[in-house]
Formats: sequence, C-alpha cells, structure tokens
Amino acid sequence: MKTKIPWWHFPLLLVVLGSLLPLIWMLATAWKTPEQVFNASLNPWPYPATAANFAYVMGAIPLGRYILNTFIIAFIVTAAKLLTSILAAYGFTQFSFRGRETLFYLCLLSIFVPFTVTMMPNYLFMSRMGWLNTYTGVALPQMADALGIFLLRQSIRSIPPSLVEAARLDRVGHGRILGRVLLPAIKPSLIALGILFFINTWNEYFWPLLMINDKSMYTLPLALQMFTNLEGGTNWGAMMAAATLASLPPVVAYLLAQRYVVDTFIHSGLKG
Amino acid sequence: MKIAREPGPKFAAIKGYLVPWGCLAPALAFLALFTFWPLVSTLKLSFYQWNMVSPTPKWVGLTNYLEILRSREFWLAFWHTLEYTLILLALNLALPYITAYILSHLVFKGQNFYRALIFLPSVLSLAVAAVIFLWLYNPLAGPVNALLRLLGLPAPPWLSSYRWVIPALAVITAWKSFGYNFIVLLAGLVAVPLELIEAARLEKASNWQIFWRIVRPLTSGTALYVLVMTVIIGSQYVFVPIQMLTNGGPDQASTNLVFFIYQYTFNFFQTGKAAAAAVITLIIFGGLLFLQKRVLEKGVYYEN
Amino acid sequence: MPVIAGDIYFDKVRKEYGRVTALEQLDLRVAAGERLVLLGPSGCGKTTALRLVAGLERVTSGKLYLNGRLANNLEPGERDVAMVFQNYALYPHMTVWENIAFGLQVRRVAKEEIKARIKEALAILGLEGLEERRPRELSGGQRQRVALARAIVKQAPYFLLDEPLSNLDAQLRTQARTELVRLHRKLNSTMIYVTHDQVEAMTIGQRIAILAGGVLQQVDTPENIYNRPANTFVAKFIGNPPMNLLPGIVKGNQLFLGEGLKLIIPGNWSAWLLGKSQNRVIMGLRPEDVTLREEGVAEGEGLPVRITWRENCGKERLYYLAAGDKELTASFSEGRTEPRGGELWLTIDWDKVHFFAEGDGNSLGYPWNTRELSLKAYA
Repeated sequence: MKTKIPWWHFPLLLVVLGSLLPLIWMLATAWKTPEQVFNASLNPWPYPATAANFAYVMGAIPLGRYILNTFIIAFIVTAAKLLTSILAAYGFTQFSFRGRETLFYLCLLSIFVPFTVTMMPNYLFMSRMGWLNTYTGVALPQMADALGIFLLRQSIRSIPPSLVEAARLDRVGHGRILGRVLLPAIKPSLIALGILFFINTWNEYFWPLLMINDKSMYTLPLALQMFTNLEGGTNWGAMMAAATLASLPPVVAYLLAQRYVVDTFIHSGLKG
Repeated sequence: MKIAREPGPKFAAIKGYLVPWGCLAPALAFLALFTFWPLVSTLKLSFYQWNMVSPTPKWVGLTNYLEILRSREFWLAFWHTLEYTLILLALNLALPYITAYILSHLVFKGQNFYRALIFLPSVLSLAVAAVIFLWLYNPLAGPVNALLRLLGLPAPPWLSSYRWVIPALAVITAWKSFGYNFIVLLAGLVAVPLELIEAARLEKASNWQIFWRIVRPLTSGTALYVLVMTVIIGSQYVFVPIQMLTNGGPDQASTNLVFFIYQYTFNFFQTGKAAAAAVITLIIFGGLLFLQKRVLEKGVYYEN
Repeated sequence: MPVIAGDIYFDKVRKEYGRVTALEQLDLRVAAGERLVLLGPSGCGKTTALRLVAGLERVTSGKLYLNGRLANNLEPGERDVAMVFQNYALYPHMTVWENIAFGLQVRRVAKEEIKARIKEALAILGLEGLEERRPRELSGGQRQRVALARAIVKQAPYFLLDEPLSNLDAQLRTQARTELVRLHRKLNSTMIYVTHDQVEAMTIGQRIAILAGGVLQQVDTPENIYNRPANTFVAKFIGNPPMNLLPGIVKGNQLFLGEGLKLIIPGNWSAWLLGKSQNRVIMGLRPEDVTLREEGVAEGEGLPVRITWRENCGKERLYYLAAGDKELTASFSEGRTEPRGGELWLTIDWDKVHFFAEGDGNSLGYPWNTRELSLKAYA
C-alpha cells in the first residue's frame, strides 16, 4: 500500500527541532562546567553534570526577591485583566444599546496602538504620581485587555442564549447570571486566558524597564538583563542557569494547562 | 392591582443604563486612560520641545517633524524596521502558515504533540530568548559557529557584523513569536470545512493548489490579523534583543524605529522629537495597513 | 453530454476506523449506468461506502474495482468520480462560475472547452444569470443545483451523491427528485445515491441497497424490497407506518400468536412453513394489507382487536390496535366507513403476508403461487 502520510511529518519535525534546540542548549549549558561549555559546546549532554551554575546564580543575585516581584505584578495584572474583561464581555453581550458595536470596535482598535505611542505619556503620568519603582506603576496601565474582552465575548456568544433567557425568566439577578450561569460555562476559556495573561506579564520586559530602576524592585527579565551585563558574556553556564530559572514558572504553568491554552485558541475562532 | 412592588418606571430606566455601563466602565476607563489619552498626548507633545525636566514645554510647531525627517538616524531606523519586518513576515507569517496547513490538513497523527511543542517557546520571555541566543551566537565558542566551523562554513560574528546583525536579531524574535502565530493560524485553518478540501481533492488539485486557491482565501481574515500583528508588535518585540544585546550597534546598524524613539526619550531626553517619531511611525503603520487592506480586501473572505 | 459509464465492484470490502467497524465485508456490484441507492439509518455505513468509492477513505481489507481496475490505492483525483456533498461543499469565496470551473481549471481543460461545458450545465440546471453570485447569495435549491452543475461538468463515469436533498424543504425535495432522475438519464453515468429517506430511495433508485450496522441487508429493485423484504430489518425500515411484526408458533396448520390469538394457515403457506426447520416464526403484516370487520368471523379466520387510538392523516387513517397483549397498526385510505369502537375483527389477506425466522429474522420465503412477482428486475 502506498503510504504518503509520514513524509509530511518531516517538515513538522524540523519546525519542532527549531523550536526546541535553543531550549535544549540552554538546559545543557546550564549544567555544564566552564571547561565543558567552551570545549564541547555542541554536546547537548552535560557529563558529568554540575549544579554549580545554579548555586552561583542564587548567590549572586537575590533571586527570591525577583521572583516575588514578578509574581506579585503578574498576579495583580492577571486578576485585574480577567475582572475587567469578564465585566466588559458581559456588558457587550447581554445588553443592547446604541453605539455598542462601535464601542466594541474602538476597544479592539487599542490592540493596534503601538506601545511607542503610549509609553512616553504613561511614563510621565506615573512619574508625576510618584509611582516609579512601584508595583502600581508597572501594573496599572495593563489592567484592561482588548484581546481578553474579544475572546470572552466570543466564548459567551457561543453559549446557547436560552440558558441566560431561562435565568432571566426566573428573575435571576445579573450577578448570579454571571457567576452561576456564564462563568462556569466559559471556564476553559477563563483558565486559558488567565494563564496567557500571567505568562505574558511574567515575561514583560519593555514597560518594567521604563518603570523600574531600583534593583530591589526588578522583575525576572530585568534581573536577567542585569545579570548578563554583570557576567560580561563569559560565565555562560551561570547565564543559562539564570535563564532556566526565569523560564521555569511560565513553562510549568503552560505544561500544566497546555490543552486549555491551545484548545481555547483553536476554538475561539480568532479572526481579524 | 399590583401584587409585587415594582420599582417605578423612572428607576427602571436609570437602572437599565447603570448595569451595562457599570460593566463596561472599568475596561473602558483603563483603555481610555492608558491607551487613547496617551495617543492624543503624544500627538500634542510632538509639537513641543521638552526635556521632561524643565517646567514648561516650548511650542515649536512642526520643527520636530522636519528635523526628524532630515536626520540620517531616523531613515536608518526606518529602513531597518522595514528589513526586520520583511524577515519577520517570512518567518512569522509565511512559515507558520504553511506549517499550520501541513499539520491541519496533511498529517493525521500527533496533532497534540506538534501543537504543544511548537507553542512552547512562545511562553518564554524575550529576555530569556535574547540571552539564549547571545550564547548560541557567541563568535568563539557558541554552538552555531562551532557547527558552522565543523561543516567548514564561514562563521561570522553575528551580532557585531553589519550584514548579519539584523537577521540575527530578527531570528530571536521570530523564534519566540512563531508558536503563537502558528496557533492562531491553526485555529483559522481547522475552521475550514473538511468537505471543501475533499471536493478539491476529487478534482485532482495538488496540496499547493488546495492551499493557495481554497485554504488561503478562506483563512485570509486570520492571516490579515497575524500580518498586522507581525508588523506592529514585531517591531516592538525586536526592541528587546536590540536593547539587551546590541544597543542599536554596531554603529546603529541594528536600530529600528521603536529603539530610536526609546533612545530619544530616555537617553537623549528629546521628548518632542521622540513623540514626533512615534506619530510618524503610527502614520506609517496606519498607511501600510490601509494599503494592505485595500490590496488584500478583494481577496479577503470574511465568514460573517 | 452523456458519458461512458463504468461499473463498481465491492469485493469483500471492509472499513474500520480504529476499533470501530464502519463496514463489514460488503459485496456489491453496481452496473455501468445504473442508479443505485444506498439506504439505511444514520451510522449504517452508507456514507462510508460512498467515500470509499470516491477515495476519500481507504479500504481496510478487500478489494474495490472501478471499471474492472483495482482502485484500493488510487488517489481521489485519479478516480474520475464526481461527487455532490451533503452540504454541497461550494467554495464560499468563489462565484458560481468559479465554483463550477475550479475542477476543470485544475485539470487544465482548455478555456473554450470549460466555457462550453459550464454553459451547457447552467442551461440544464436552469442556473443562467447566476454566474456571478456567491454561494451565500443563493437559495438552498440553487446551491444544490450549483453543486450538481459542478459535478456534471466533470463528465465523469461515476456520479456520487451524499444525501444531496437533505437540506432542502419538503416541497423542493419532491421536485428535485424528479430532476435528478431526468439528469441521470441525460448523463448516463453510474450513480450511487446515499440517503436515509425511504421515499427518496424508492423514487430514485433502480435498485436499492439497504445497510444496517455496517452490514448489507438486501439489494434489489424498489418493488422487491417492498414486497419481498429479506429480513425483519428491511421489513420494518421500508413502509410507513412500518410493518407489524408478530412472533408466533406454527403447529400444523395453526399459527399461535398469543393468548386467544389463533389463525388457521391456508394450505399453500402451511405446506411451505412445514418444510422449514423451525416452528417459531415472526409474521409480518403491512398496516395497509389488513382489514377490520365489525361482524364476527369463524375461529381462526381473524384476530379479535380493540382500537386504542385513531389518527386522521388526510389521505389515510391510522388505527392503533390492541390484540390481547400485542399492539398493531392498521391503515385505510379515505372513503371507507369509520369503524365503531369496541370489539372488532382483524382479517388478513394471505397473499400479502410475510414470514421470518425468529432467531436471525431472515425471510422464510414465499410459497411459489402466492404472487406473480418475480425477480425480473434483476435481469
């Protein structure tokens, strides 16, 4: 029998390889001694493996503090984004009023406003409020997200309207309709969106770079940049160990909820 | 006779406005305050000369614009942005589009495996990606050059070479964003009804013909979204490796418009010029998108 | 635009999806130029069989021949089949013209030829003037005809249709049925038509193949399927309201259907049933083949019944009957006097009775002189 299916796996495997190789080298280098790093950079299997790089990173920078900073900011932003997105999606789906669609598309337009246009006034605003080097300064401008509103609006629209109508006939209030009917029905989307928000905020570089120059307030990506400058491009093992540590939380979060994240995208029918 | 006590009609009318607007208010307030107001504010700043410290900005009219449009650095950054964008369009639109097509329509096993692994890099920070590639690109001991030497190929110093610095930095961004765009495109592709593909297969259409004449037109809405995001977000993403690894160097060979604006604001404190550059960038993007929309509109097929 | 038709031969064809068996050893020959209907409930394997012919699914085991050529491993594009999908599968971004032209363009048919063929197809199907419309600007009936047009311009020897009328409303469907038969007469290709609708099957098919649970139940002309069902499944599936099936025991020339339900079997049938190895049978009575009498009949000549429910369907009346612990339906066309309530007698026409074996439900056949009906249609 002619089998033509396996052939197409080849380009896909190449893409997978391209996606994974840099990560494999990060992990491998993190466990290598300096000699191994320089003499066998192509070897993906550190032997004997050493944990010295990780120990060095922990000693050189207050990693715990950075993780805490990053976590607090990511947590606040994620919670706020979810809350505002849920409320807005509810408002955009459950009520009809004049200008609703216009307003919705105006929200969507915000996705396309480049960061460069907004960063300067926002920076000035935060500086005037005295919020430089604070969690507030980093978190506040990111508390609403048009993509979140869009995705949740899509999810709510995919629920049969009769569910909400039945609740209305029973004179169920808005809070309960949202809490007991809609949110449970769109739980997978909420989880996926929450994880996505969390990962994106965790990884944020540009805005925290502008907001924070006090070292004790650094987030992980900023700390990584500082550490890279500190090590002056020689101590590769330690740098890869730091990169590994900084990536661990988002990767774990993703792997735990991988199906949710990917499936939500697949089913949301994200279209321009 | 009324059995239950109803609130008066006037109260009901007010309540009818209160709830929807109460729901929309938080999101709208944040978007207005931190996206749309700054947009206006930047526009205003672009007509002033100001160093962020002096108490009053000075009105200078169009001077900022004229000076910027006359400066070599701006045009350098402009052309670099174009170069970055073209590379990113190839690596973050065309390549994931085709990859997603292969996965969704030509391969029938291992869907979850591929999705999960291809998406993985996009959960990493660009800062992490930049540091990893800094090592991979290391001219002396880095794995990329070690491999090239092993194969007897030239091993350029990627990040300090005029010729290679832009592709090298673009690849970092592309590696990190590939998975996200891939998943978004895949979502569009799996929504194409299988029957349409089958009908085409009965006509002896090749895989390429099916992609180009059926799948691509039917997913052009999704593709347009990815294209727009690649153009706008891409130049923003590239900023991170530029700032972290080359600082625009060697000799401004890797600057882009975002980095240019950043430098003028936070290194040179020429707020007005930076604002003018930001507005010009916005106009260029807007014009580009308008053009693309006009050109693509004919081919774009929206389901609704 | 008649084409040269080819025949189709399923030789012990089996199709499995993982652990699920969709089609169990199908043996079926479709003659060149024939109109064959695959009929069965959803999930019976009829669409699978069609998709195997199209090459959209691969045969798990067995052999599939198209025009005498082994086709197991042929790509869909190499099989020269035209297919109409259930949802028509019109390309939504293309106009009617582009939709019809697509396949021909892909096959690099000359431009003039494409134009000529499309013009002809549009004329046959009454689609002139709609060339520049997109599918969403068409009515359901028009879409269905565009799908047909796309199939016929191919001039393929095989014409496959997968429930093409299921998305049309009842009135259009009746009209489309006749159009389809006319169209096939013009084309003369080998047509396989999949449906779950027995009326479509009876009116369109020259032969009907009935599938259930992946197993072929019977292949025959519509007349024979109706009058000589091969087993209880076919008997119940064809005919509306469905055939009454009454289990009973044959003792000599008597048939016991239950407490106080006894029938004397006439000579030809009793001789016929005597030759069978088992005496546990199922008697099949079509609702339209029974008679209700108000006056009593001799013992063993009829069954005592009560009417539990009546329905007036306009052209016919339905009576739901209770006979002891058994339930039956009877139907009569308009014009007969309405029977009163209370005790009635149900008598049967022994020329229109069916008997099946109790275990496997297979037909026990018919005594040679019960009916004129022959197997002529197979010839």
